[in-house]
Amino acid sequence: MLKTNRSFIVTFAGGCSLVMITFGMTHSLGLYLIPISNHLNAGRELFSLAMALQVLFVGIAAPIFGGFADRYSPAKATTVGILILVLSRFWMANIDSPFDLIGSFILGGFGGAGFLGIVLGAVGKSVNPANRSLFAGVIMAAGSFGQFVITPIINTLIHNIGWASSLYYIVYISLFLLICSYFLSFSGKTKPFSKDTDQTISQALKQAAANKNFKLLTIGFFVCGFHVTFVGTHLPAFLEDQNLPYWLSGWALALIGLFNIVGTLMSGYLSGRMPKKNVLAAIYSLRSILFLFFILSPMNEISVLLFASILGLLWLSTVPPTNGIIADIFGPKYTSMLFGITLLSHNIGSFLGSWLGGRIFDYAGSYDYMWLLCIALGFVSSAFHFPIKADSIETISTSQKNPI
Amino acid sequence: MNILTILTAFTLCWMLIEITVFLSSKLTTTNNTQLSYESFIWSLRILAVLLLGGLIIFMDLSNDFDLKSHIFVCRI
Repeated sequence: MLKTNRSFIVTFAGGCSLVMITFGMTHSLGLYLIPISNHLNAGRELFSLAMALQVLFVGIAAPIFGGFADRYSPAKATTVGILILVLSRFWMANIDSPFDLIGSFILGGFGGAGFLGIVLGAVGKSVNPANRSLFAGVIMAAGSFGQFVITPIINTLIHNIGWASSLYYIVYISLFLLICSYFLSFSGKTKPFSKDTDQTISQALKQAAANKNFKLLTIGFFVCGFHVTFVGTHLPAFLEDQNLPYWLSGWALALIGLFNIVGTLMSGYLSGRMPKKNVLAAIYSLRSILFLFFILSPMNEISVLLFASILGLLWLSTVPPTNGIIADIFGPKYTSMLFGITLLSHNIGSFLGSWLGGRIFDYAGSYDYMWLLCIALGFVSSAFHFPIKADSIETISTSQKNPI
Repeated sequence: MNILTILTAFTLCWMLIEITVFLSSKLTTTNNTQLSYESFIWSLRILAVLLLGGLIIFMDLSNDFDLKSHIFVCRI
């Protein structure tokens, strides 16, 4: 029993460290915008395009790596991902052309794609289903914390040793991740809380594709990506347009980050106590109500900071219940892959949120239409979540199709 | 920066958290394997105070640290 507990603790610690460091490293890529754009004598659009493509490839590769982890092992899948990530950062440190920039970012997106889904899946298989969402919340909080801790470190490195050299340090940090990846191999030694089935990946995919609840969940998660990326990318510019104090946008983003950590923990806790679909529906509705209040209320320091704090609570808090619903419906065996599919939808939303924000601003001269779109999408997503039935379904497996 | 404004926003948001978690503990039933309300809320309070303290020190001391430039595209 002790061995089982120790195995779980090692798996959980390794998973949290992996998500924390990779979230931090991915999130700090924005720091390279100016130095790399200057190095290539290119405008900022090229870097933005590379970033957007990376986000898309994270979504595209997430189900592939998730499937790999479910089929073989989380440790093997993350090891492959880390090696691809190392290659991409090495390439990025030696870029000389736009092709190198875009290529290295796409490779980085592909390599770093599956970490979150794989870790959520590996930990989710080893915990009591009643606590699964809470542990997912802790993993997400670790990731959010990593964004806070790693970003200043990389910022210091860039200022002290230059952007290209700093990337070599990222390569070394990435190699350290191999230890975290090894810790994930202990997930196979933990006591499983649900009986394993002999369902294949293609059967799981077919079953998910035919499941109405999974479709609703995936479409709903699109809105999450749309909201957070639009706000994360365009909020500083929006606040500057309002002639508010210069320190405000930095603090607004800092409070979003702080309450994001609290919000993911809270969401994980609440998802273990009440129906997860209701938690999700409430999050999306509250986002819409919050956006509505924000654009209607007078803009001042307190309204902006309060908006940022509450938005932080709702920021990535959708992940624990979304992941939990998938595990509840289909069981934990293919959670990594199926969560990867929802992540693809999320990242398409991210891509559109970022791009449409700029496009609509250029067209209309303000973000008003974009805010209205965000409000409408939030309510639509909320409505999509209410009919979800998160009851466990009987998995279609090889043995059922070919009974002995 | 105006620390009083930041603390006001933080406190107002925290009140929302306290109410939500308290109501959820009263309106729902739990089993023995789940974390209790007291354990959870106290962990959250300690974490939030530590994070806020760290953030205030960090933002105050790091004048050359432009947080806006770090939040480029939110990604999972």
